[in-house]
Amino acid sequence: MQRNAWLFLFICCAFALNAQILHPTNGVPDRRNTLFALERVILHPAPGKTVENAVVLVQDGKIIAAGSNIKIPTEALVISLPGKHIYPGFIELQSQYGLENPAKGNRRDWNPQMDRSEPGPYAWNQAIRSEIDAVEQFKVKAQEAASLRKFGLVAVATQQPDGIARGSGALVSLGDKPENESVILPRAFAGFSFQKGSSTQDYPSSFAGSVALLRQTFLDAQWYAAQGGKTYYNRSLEALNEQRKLPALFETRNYMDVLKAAEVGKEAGVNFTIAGNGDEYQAMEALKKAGNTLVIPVNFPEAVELGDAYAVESVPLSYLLHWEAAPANPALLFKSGIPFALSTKGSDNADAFFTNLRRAILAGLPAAKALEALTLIPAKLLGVEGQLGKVEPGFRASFFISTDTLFAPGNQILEHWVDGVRYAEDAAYYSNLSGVFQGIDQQDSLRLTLKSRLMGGEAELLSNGKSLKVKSAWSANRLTLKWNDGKAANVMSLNLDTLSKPARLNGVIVDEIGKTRPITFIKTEDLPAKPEKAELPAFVHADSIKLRYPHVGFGYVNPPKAETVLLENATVWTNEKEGIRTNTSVLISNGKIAGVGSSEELLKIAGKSATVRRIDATGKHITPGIIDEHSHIALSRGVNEGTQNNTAEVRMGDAVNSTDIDVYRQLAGGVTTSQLLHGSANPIGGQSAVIKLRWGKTPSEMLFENAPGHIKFALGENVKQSNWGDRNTTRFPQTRMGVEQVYFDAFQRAREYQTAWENWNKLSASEKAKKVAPYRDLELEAMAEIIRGTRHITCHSYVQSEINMLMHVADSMGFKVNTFTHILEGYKLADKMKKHGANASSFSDWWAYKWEVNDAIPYNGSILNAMGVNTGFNSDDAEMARRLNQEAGKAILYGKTSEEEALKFVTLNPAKMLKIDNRTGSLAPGKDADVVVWSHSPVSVKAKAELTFVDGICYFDRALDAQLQQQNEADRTRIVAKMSKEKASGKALKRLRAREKHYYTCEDLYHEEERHVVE
Amino acid sequence: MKKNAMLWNKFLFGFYILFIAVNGLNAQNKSMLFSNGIVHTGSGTVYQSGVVGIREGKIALCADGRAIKIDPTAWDTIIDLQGRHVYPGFIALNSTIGLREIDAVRATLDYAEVGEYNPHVRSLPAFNTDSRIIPTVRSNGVLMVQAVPQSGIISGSSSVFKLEGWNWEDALLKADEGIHLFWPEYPVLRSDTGRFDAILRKQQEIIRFLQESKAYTKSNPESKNLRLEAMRGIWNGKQRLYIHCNRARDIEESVRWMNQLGISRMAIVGGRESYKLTDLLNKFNVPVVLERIHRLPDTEDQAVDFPFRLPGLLEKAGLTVVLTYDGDMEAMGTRNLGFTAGTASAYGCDEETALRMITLNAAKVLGIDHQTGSLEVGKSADLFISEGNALDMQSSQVKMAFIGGKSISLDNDQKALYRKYMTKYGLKPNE
Repeated sequence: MQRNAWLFLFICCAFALNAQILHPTNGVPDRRNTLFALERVILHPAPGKTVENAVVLVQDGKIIAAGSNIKIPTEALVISLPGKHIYPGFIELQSQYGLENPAKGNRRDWNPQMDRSEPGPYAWNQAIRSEIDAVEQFKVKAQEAASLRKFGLVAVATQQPDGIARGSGALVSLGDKPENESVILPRAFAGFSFQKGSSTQDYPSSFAGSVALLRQTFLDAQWYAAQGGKTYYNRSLEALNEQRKLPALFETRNYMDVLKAAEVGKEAGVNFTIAGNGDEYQAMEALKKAGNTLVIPVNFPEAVELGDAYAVESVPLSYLLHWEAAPANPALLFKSGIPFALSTKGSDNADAFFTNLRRAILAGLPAAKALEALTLIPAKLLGVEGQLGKVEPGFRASFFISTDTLFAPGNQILEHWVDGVRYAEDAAYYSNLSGVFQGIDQQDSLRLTLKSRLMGGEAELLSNGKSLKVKSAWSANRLTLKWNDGKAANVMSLNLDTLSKPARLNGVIVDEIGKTRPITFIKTEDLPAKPEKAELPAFVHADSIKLRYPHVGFGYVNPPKAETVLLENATVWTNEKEGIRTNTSVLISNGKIAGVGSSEELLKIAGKSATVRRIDATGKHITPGIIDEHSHIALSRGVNEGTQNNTAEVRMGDAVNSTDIDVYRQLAGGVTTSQLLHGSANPIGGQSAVIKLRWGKTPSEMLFENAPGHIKFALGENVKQSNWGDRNTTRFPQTRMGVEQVYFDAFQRAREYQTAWENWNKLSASEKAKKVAPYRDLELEAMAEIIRGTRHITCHSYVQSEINMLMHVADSMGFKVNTFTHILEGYKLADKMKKHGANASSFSDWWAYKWEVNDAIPYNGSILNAMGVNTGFNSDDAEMARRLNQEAGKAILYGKTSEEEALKFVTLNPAKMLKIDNRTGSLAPGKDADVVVWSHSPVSVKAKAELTFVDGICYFDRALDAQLQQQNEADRTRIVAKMSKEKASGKALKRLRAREKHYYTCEDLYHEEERHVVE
Repeated sequence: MKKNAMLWNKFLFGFYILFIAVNGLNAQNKSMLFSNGIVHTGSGTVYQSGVVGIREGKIALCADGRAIKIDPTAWDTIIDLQGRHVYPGFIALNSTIGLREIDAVRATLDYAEVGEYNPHVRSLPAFNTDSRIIPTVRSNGVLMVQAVPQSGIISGSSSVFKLEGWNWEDALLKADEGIHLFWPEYPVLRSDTGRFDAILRKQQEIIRFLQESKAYTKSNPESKNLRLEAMRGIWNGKQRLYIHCNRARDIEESVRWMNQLGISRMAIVGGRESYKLTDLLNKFNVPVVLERIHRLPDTEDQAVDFPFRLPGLLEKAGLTVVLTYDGDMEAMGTRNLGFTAGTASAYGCDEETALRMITLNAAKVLGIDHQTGSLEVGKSADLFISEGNALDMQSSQVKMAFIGGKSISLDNDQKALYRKYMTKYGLKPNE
């Protein structure tokens, strides 16, 4: 770093301004109050405003005046900047400036860690770090500040990105004044995320667990405020309550997280400002509805190396589509009226940041809007809109000066002012050193040519028209030239004089005996400027983006809509008392089944309804949509929160990933509804999400409306951790004996919890005012729902002893076990299950994968069914789910269940288990039009789903699927060509590490990270 | 008297099942004719009203029943199948049946030996004829398996077994018929240079090993190297080299390398991307032993039904295709082998062609097609009879099966438990 001494002086002076008020001074205080006048500038005082030939007066860190027609006081130190631009400085909302990196979680060993690693009066969970105030750890780091200023930043909101509740962050200036003067707001915001960060504690290990923890923590804080810390002190909760008045900033990983954060915020009464990731354009409607202000990055995904010819198709189309559309994200959000700030987060350097910003503008983001999103909007979010974000009187003198309009290509930032202190970017300041300098010397005619615009470049020296072989070196504004003229070594030492215009170099020539003679060079001509950087190719414009729903391969550009459809003349498996009807038609209208019968009578029902699409289904079979009672598709970052033996508070509905390609694949197998279950790692797992496979909708739109609550339980080897290795022998329970006691305990506590609330609810308002409401515990609440019969158990189970046990526990607590899933020894106690009223959701023929399935038999389904137990087959497997109709067929193979009954194993019967048979599961008029048209009998290996309707919307059409494949190919070809252009332009492309997609099963313990990483 | 005997040797199939249930079956040395069956030969032909005759353990007749005249006196027993189906026994390649019992119980697993170059390790002596899995697989028509060691780079040598026998010697069909090379695969995208180099080194190591083993075959040293000794069959053509890999680049490179080294009998096992290299594979006459087709597409953008269509695509390109059930839970799942062929038949493959992929093609790859794999006169009578289409769970019901002309039991522990509990509940078993 080299710095002009002239500037250096300024900085030192400015330092002195306030520091000494409280701090003792060594020597005589040096307090200055210089008035700076920046004249002849083009001022952009606020987004969208421009004042030509303006003056800005700065004193004592503040702007005194700004605009045209301002009289410059005589005492002012005038800095003339003809034609230069002044912009308000940017504010970054997502910084870690001045703070250490989060400590790496250091586990003592790999045994389970159930509690905090260090004791203290804090939250029970290490990921709740509300007690941390970033300001207490803040240290000014001059170098880091200087590199951040290059982005145009003058202030940052800073916090360690660590934990789920991260405590308060500070707003600090990016100068190098001491900490006392750099802090603008000590507690500027409260930070949150769904990442547990450095916490070594096991819980939470999944995304859904993180959401549950945050949700419960807000409730804890509420209760804590009410009980007032009298008998129980908790600094974390106390701090969280103190932070309620601060703006709340939430960091996320993708737009689905953003939607979830918005939802959790609404529940807790917190309006989060949510930091996004650049994919928000994929869910604009939902984000608009949520109404949160976003903070979005401009670090767009990079073009990647596509590898050899075989590898090209391995780059997922989802990555390519996002790469193409991402620069239009800000423009698209702007157009849909979603408020957002922009962030420099993720940009490697200022050049890349400005290049991408220009790209965003080329893609349709108005420049004024971009400026606002970097200045006024973050200022307002933090409540400092009277201090930062504009160049107006009374504001902090925090701005920057550039050679051109901000977003013009080739624009250079010359200097930054932070709180009245001037920082010049060395590189930029001498924006054109290159040129020819004429020497003024009595002895020789000298000509010096500097080739580089910046200090540090090469020099050429001509003496009396003869070129000398000089070695040049720059050091601290001084240029040293050495050459040998044949007789002796000569040295010339020159100092750069930047006050003069044109530029001068003053110094001496030293001869062989050490005698010096003065010399001056004056610049006489500029070297022709290098051609401007080529204008960026306008890769994409917001208006040209064809969004897919979802924006991945097989997403629909034109999402299918509900229509009136008459499927004619097929074999119809009604699952009603009419059974299987041949030569029959089905009418779908308004998302419902309008009728089953002859085309003539159905056309009458359709009546005047605008258009009826008639589909000849002669030779085809029509059935209700397949319902998978046990699925783990479409889930984000983890299926098990297996870190405690009871995690009833965890909701899989929080982790729905609506863009999972398995949704589409399973539609192609005729699946219309799935229960997304928590895994089987603990006796009491999380709450299920029942979804309809509405491909292209948002996670919350996929949820089955008003489906009754369900929850996963599990028994046997998984919950007693039999196959987890020798280290996992600590968590209770380790035996089937212990499992029983986990249940007794959980239900006993749930009963007591319920009683406490019932008693509370009986109190009058005045009595309530005198007391503290009982603690609200979402885990016990879910358990109490089971006892009340409003939440239904799906229990992973294999051997008969444990199945029997759970029914006994339920009987003793006065509720029913709704469904035993897997239930491979169900056939051994079919009579008891029948008596209890339990459903059975089995595999058709799995066994031999662990000890407890040794007695599993493929006749299980047939026996249970014959015994009058409501029986189904499920998948628990993303692949098998798309062949559940074949699995149903195996009920015929093993035990000769009738074909009609067999189909019910994967349609009506699971609907009954999920208690949604009033809506789906059979073809009865009035039910949801979840309908599949098959090429053959649905229980035959030959059957292919040709059309799959959900709510009367045709989400899968085998003919259309061929078109989607072509569309995929066309898009891939187009985007790969664009990427190749980037490569051709000489850019070194990074490599994409395509992570294999992870397919969850019951037994997955830890969640994965993002699927594709650019390195 | 003779007339009387004639009466007794003619059965309707249903009665015959009843008859053997009461009297037991000791027909091995007697001749037997199935008439009026839908006979799937396994070589692509189907006789809608076919006859199959068994004599001395071999197939003595297989023909269109309408085209020939049967001499009833020539057969000890004649069974009218009344339209039931006859199939050659299914053959499961790349299997761990007999080497694995319960996946999560280590003590029951015998398919993965320690070490990288183990051509001398043989599945033969570990094959457990008393596996509880075997009867459950057999009862869906799978009558032969190739038991394959599955670890390291060269995992060992495989043998082929009948799923019937007192011990492994008894069950053996062909010993040490192949060596299995697990080709180290490059990552899909060139992202981690270090890993690429490591794989390249491994490949070079393999080439060196093969070169040295080839040189070794020309010597007869006193001090034997068991690993190199075990490779002799590869070089004299007695053993097939099975190259396990999936990606196009790896298929291409490994096949070319092996060809260059002079290995003539190879097969690709896995072969997900073999469709990109059909010309090369045809040129070197390399069959493809496909990974289980009941699997998800290889990439998120691949067509949803692509793995189902793959067998048909390869077949049409002229390759010899074999379907397997390798992958998760493969041993117990092998009873679904026929249904993978069924799925292939629903996605662009003719039904008899799909059947050939688990019968005759499998036998060809194993080098046992001269003795089994299809219903041809002179071959071993390894066949079964199903009520309906054995490739379709809707109608498959395997009623009788024969290995070497000997009727084998189709009962298993699971059926026993079924009967036991149906009886407990007072219900009638529906087998």
